[in-house]
Amino acid sequence: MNRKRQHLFRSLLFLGTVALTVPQLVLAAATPPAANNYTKACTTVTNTANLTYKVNGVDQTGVNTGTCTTGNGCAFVVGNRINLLVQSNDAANVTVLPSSTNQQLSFLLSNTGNARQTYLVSFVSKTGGAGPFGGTDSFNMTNPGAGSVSTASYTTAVVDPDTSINVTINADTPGAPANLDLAVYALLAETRKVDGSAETANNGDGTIENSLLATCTAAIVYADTTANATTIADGDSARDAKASARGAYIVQSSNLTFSKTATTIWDPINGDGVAASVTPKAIPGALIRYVISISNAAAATTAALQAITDGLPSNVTLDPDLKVPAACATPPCLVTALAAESANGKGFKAIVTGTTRTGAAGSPLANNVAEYYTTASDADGVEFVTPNITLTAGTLLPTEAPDYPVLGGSGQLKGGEILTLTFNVTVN
Amino acid sequence: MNKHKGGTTMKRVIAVLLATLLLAPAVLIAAPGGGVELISRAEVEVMQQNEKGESVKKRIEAAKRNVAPGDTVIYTISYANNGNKPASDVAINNPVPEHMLYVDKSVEGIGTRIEFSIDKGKSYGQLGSLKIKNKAGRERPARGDDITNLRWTIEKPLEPGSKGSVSFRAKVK
Repeated sequence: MNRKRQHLFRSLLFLGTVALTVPQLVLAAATPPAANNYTKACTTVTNTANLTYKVNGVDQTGVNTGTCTTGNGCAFVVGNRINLLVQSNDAANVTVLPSSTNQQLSFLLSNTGNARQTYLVSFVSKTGGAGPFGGTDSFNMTNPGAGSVSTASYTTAVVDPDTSINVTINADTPGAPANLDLAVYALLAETRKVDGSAETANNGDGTIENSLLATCTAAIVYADTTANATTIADGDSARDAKASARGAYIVQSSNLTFSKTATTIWDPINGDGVAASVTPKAIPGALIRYVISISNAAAATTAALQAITDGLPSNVTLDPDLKVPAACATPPCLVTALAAESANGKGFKAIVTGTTRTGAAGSPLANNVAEYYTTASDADGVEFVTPNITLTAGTLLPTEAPDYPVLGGSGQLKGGEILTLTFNVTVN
Repeated sequence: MNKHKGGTTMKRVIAVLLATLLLAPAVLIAAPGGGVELISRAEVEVMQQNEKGESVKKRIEAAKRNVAPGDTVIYTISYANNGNKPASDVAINNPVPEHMLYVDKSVEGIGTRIEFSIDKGKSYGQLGSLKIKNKAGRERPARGDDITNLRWTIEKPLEPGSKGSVSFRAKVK
C-alpha cells in the first residue's frame, strides 16, 4: 500500500464513511456488417435455355437444354465461402476500478460467409502491445476467462450466415494498477464446422457440413482477405478463416486524499494571540477551527462522493455561527469580541477550489467562492445531529449538466478539485 | 434353363447397359427437337501452367472446381442442326440462372442479334435502352445485374449439319 493510499485509508477511518463510484463507459455495441445474402453453401445451381425455330416457315416445337446436373457439366454446387468478422463492442477502453471483479471486454463475432459455422474462440494478453484506442499495455488483469471465454479457448454455438453473436472476456482487476494503466487483450475466432471440427480450404471436394441444407461435397474457400500487422501478430492472417480484434481495460481510479486540521484561533485569555505574540490555547471557552479537505488528484477520475461523517468529541460544542475574532481597531490589541464569519446560525463553510466549473446558485462549486450552511438539521447539505456532522455531497455539489454525461448524478468531485469544509468548536 | 443361352442373355444385357452408360451424357443433355439440339455447359476459368511452364487460362467444369459466392461461371449454350432441313428464325432464350447475376458485357454470340430482358422475358431490348424504375418512380439505365433473360437470334438460317454456340458469364450471388 503506497503512502497516498495509507493516508486515504486512515482518513476514511477518521471521517467515517465515504462511498465512491467511478463513471463506467456505456457499452456501445458494434454495428453488425451488412448482410451479404450469399447463396447458401450446398445450393445446386442449374441452367435451362430454350431454342425456338422454324422449318419451311413453320414453327417447330421448342428445344430445351434438358436435364441439368453436376454429372453432365451443366450444374454445379455452391461451395462454402468462409468469412468472418470480429469487432470490439466497446467504443473505448473499458474503465475499471482497482480490485473490481468480473469486468467485461465485449466483442461482436459475425458470420459473413454462406454456411452455418461454429467458432473456436480464444484470447491472449498483449503484453506491451498497442491498445485499440491508443496507449500501451502496462498490466494484466487477473482470472481472465471467468465469463464466456471460460478457458484458454472454447467453441461457440452455431452461427448462421449474416448473423452475429456477442463474445466477452471477463476478468478481475488487481489492486495494484495505477490510474490510467492499460490491459490489452486480443480475441481470436477461428472458423469451425458445425460439429466443431476444423475447416480446411479445399478446391472442390471438401465436406461442407451445413445444417441449413444437406451436407455436400464442394469447394471450401477462405475469403477473409483483411489482415494487417496487428491482426497477424494476434494470429489472424489473410485467408486463414480467422478474425481478431483487440479490446482494453483502463484503470481509472479516483485518487482521493483527506486531511483534517484543528487550529485554536481564539481563547478568552489571549484573544487571537496577536497582541501578546502567543498562540491561543485550547482552554475552556477557546474556539478551535476544524478544516476537512477532500482532494481528488489532478488527472484522476471524477469521484462520486456520497456522505462524509465526522463525529465530534464529547468535550466540545459546535459553534453555530462559525465565529471569528472581531477585527482589531488599532493592532496590536487583545481581541475579546467574536463575530459570525458569515451570519449567525451559519456554522459551516464549504468551498471548492481548483475547479473550472462555474457553479450553481447556492452551491460552493464556483471556484474559491465559499457557501455557508446552518448547523440545523435542515437538509441544506451539511447537518449536525449531536455528535455527528454529516456532509451530503449530492446536495452540496449539485448536478452540473455538461459535466455529468455518464452518471447524471450529483456529488461529483473532479480530478484536481478540492472540497473543504470548515467549522468551529468551543472547548467546554 | 439353358446355361449357355443364359450366359448370352447376360452378355447382351451388359452390352446394352454399357451402351446406355456411354450414351448417357448425350441422352441427358441433348434433347432431340426435330433435329435441332441444345446443350448448356457451366465452366470456370482457372490459371494453369502449360508444358512450357507458362501460365495460361483454362476452362474446367464448374462442378469440379471452386465455385463460391462471388465467383464467375461461364455458361456456354451449344446448338446444332442435326436434321436435314435448314432451320430459320432460330432464337435461344436463357433466363439468368437462379442464384446468379449476369456479368455486364460478358455475352457473346457470333452471327446473332443479342437482346436483354429485365422483366423475365416479357420484353426484350438493347441493354442501353432498358430502364429500371425505382420505388419513387424515377428511372435509371438498367445494369448487368438487372438482367433476367438473354436472347440470341441467329441471323442466318441454320443449315443441316451446322452448329455453333453462344455464351455469357454470371456471378454466384
